[in-house]
Amino acid sequence: MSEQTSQTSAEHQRPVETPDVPVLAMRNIRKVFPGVVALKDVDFDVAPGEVHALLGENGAGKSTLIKIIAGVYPRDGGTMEVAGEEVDFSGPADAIARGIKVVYQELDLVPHLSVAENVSLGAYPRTKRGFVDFPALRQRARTLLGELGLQIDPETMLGELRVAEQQLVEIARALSRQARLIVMDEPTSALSPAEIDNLFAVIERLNRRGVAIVYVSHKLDEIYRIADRVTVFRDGQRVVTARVTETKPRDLVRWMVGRDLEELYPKTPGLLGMPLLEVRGVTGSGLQDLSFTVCAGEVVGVFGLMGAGINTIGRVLFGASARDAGLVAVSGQPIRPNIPRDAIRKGLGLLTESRKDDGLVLPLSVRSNMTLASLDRFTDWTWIRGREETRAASDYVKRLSIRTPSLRQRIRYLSGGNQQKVLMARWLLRQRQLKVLMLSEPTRGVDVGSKAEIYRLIDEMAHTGMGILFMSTEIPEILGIADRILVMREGRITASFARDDATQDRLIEAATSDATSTEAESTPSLREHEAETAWKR
Amino acid sequence: MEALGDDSRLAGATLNRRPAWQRWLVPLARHEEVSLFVLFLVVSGFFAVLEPGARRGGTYLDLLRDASPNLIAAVGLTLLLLCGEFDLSIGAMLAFTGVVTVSVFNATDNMWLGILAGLLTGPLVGFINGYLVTFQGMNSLMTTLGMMFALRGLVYVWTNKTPIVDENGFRDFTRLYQAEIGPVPVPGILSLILIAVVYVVMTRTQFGRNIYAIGGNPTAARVSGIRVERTKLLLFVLSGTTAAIAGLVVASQTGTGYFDAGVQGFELIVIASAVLGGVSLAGGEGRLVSAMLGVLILGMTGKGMRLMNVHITQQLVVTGIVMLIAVYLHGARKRLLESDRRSS
Repeated sequence: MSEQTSQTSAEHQRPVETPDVPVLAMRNIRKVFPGVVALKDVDFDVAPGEVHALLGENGAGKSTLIKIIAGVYPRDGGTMEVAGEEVDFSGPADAIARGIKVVYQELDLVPHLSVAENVSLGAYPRTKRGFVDFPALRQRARTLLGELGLQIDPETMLGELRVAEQQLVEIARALSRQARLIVMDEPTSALSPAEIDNLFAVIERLNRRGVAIVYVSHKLDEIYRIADRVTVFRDGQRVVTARVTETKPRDLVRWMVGRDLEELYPKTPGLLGMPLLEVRGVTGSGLQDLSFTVCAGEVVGVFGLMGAGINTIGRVLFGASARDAGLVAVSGQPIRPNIPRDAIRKGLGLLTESRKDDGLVLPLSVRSNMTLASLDRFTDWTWIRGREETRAASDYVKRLSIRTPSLRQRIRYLSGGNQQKVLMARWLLRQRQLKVLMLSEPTRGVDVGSKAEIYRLIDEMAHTGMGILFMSTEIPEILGIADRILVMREGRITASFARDDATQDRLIEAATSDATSTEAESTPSLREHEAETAWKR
Repeated sequence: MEALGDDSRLAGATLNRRPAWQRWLVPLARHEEVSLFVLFLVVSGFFAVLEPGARRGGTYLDLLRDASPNLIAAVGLTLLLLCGEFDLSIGAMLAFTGVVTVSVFNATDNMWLGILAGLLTGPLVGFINGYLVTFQGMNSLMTTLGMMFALRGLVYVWTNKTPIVDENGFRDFTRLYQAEIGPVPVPGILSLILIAVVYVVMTRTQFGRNIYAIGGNPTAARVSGIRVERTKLLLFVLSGTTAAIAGLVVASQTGTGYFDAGVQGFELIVIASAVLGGVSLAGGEGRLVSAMLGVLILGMTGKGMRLMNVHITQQLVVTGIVMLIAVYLHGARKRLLESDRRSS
């Protein structure tokens, strides 16, 4: 079915779908960065009380559109109307004044202020004498949080809340400014399933009040759960706008990628070899008595909800977080706790879950980032053989099809998916010494096309006889690529499934059963640990 | 593919909208060293117009001599800044090293012993700073600030605030500052050698590369197998050592251990010079040669004013203003490059 027809049909449907004046109507929006047309004559509108999903690969133009909506970028062409009035934002303050609020992944809240203060940030109620009216401040926060159905004490320090709760505070803050359109940029990327349910309940409440949501996400299942309409972008153009109920996931992916993705998970059966990674009774940083083995050629998936400790595993085994007890060995060689260098020498690699925090060195070039862990390969006594280093790096740029203008480009200017591939290359460059590669959520914030490539790489590495430990909070990918799946809850392994026995329901059950009773006791320790590492930074 | 052609035409159009002067500046701005060198030429040109004395070639050789303590100390300090740490104790080190050196001269009547003792103060103090910062997790700003007061106080107590004069009058020692090899002053040669060696280390070795990684993101560096603490400790030792060498140069100027050497914000001027040369205070960004040009720009400002007999208090005002202008230009350059980057 052609994309044109669906595009035009969406045009025709609009009056039917939006009986009221659209909250936001954008026509022929054009945005040109010198050298790149980021948006090409894009139409986009949002009806009151609807959830409009925005889909597209990294670099398709979603973020540019959001920034134009938020008043961060001026547009280079086209018109923009908010509730029927033509507008021209000269900055984010204008957008907020018109009732448009963007909730970014990195929340702009102040951790050392109370929830109440954060809700009214920038617009505190005042007493007659001009001082802050604290009772009114707290009252306003309580009302707004209540309207969203949230039980958050307005006097808590924001920093003490979980990310999910902080996000809801940000939404309450938008309401305090009479928002009629809230843009959410990948709001669930750090949330557990229960927290996602909660967020969706809040979104429904907002819709009933007539607040419209623009929902940006890579996760198709969420779009089917929550969105009324979906707009897909590719290469700066709108491919289609359609009612979600009239589309199939397969269509969405095709519109996004521009071709059929034959197989997202190219899992091919391989031979298992000797045990490579042995973990016995490992305890520390919130983990309790972990024991398992990864064999050569095996992909072991570790599934758990947010806070279950799956991202701590890699860090603890690798020595980046404290290990208090237990044994870790690679090919029979024990690894000393808390010394990443020792782990690397003995053949471990770790792709950390947070690219920004402990993966990328932002001021440095693509090449330097890539060879950071393998420089000794290119070093004679003490001199770096620059040419050889460059050759190896450019080889990986080609092999992983990393999109960068040059090796000397600073890595901060690459898209998330490409940054992630550079970090994978950092370990692949150690292929000769690397025996076990641990990956913590390697596809978080990565678009569908790059995801498929990352899965393909993982499969390929396993075939060369490497052991892979793959930590993820997303069930489909775990089911898709793992030979064996361990499930974690509260820092313990609660179940282990062979590939053929694992189903979504079983994994969820093992990850959640009687979670409520013990959640309270395990979360603080993990959080304390995180606070400690944050402080060290 | 018709669409692609459309894009590139558009891109060309936007590029041409850029004012002509900006297009001229972009290639200049892209090379940090070149733009700093141009700034240096502007400053020297300014003085050359106003003051005949600044037109002689010898003035620039003198500048090399005058600025050598700053150049030498800036080498160690720049590396420390690059890895994300500070050293405020280098001004007090200047006095400490000088006083120790000359005191040992007088106590032993042996020049080499004195120089050795003076040189050893550097790694010693640097090691203490580094140990406290890296292994005790103390903040480097506060640690070295404490060290600065402690050392200065120690020097005052020791000397009773009187200069310690070299009783032997070692001529060889004062030649360190005053002599020339060919036309070039010895301390200038010393600085250039040091800069050259460290430059090669920074650009060609793993150690140099690691410094940038540590400054850019210490946790990422650690997880990539770099020994962050050890490297930082070493850099503190290096910073102490270059400060001690600078201290020797200052002491050899007069053959005196002067208790107030470097008291007028030597450490801050060196930090400012490095930052003026584009070294980021957050670490991870900056180049050694640029930092050295930063030292020379501030050095030339001082030198020019001394030639014009500007009063010392007024010199301070002008130096401050030059610094502000330079930092402004640095920011303007970054913005220009950033807007240009989008077009490439």
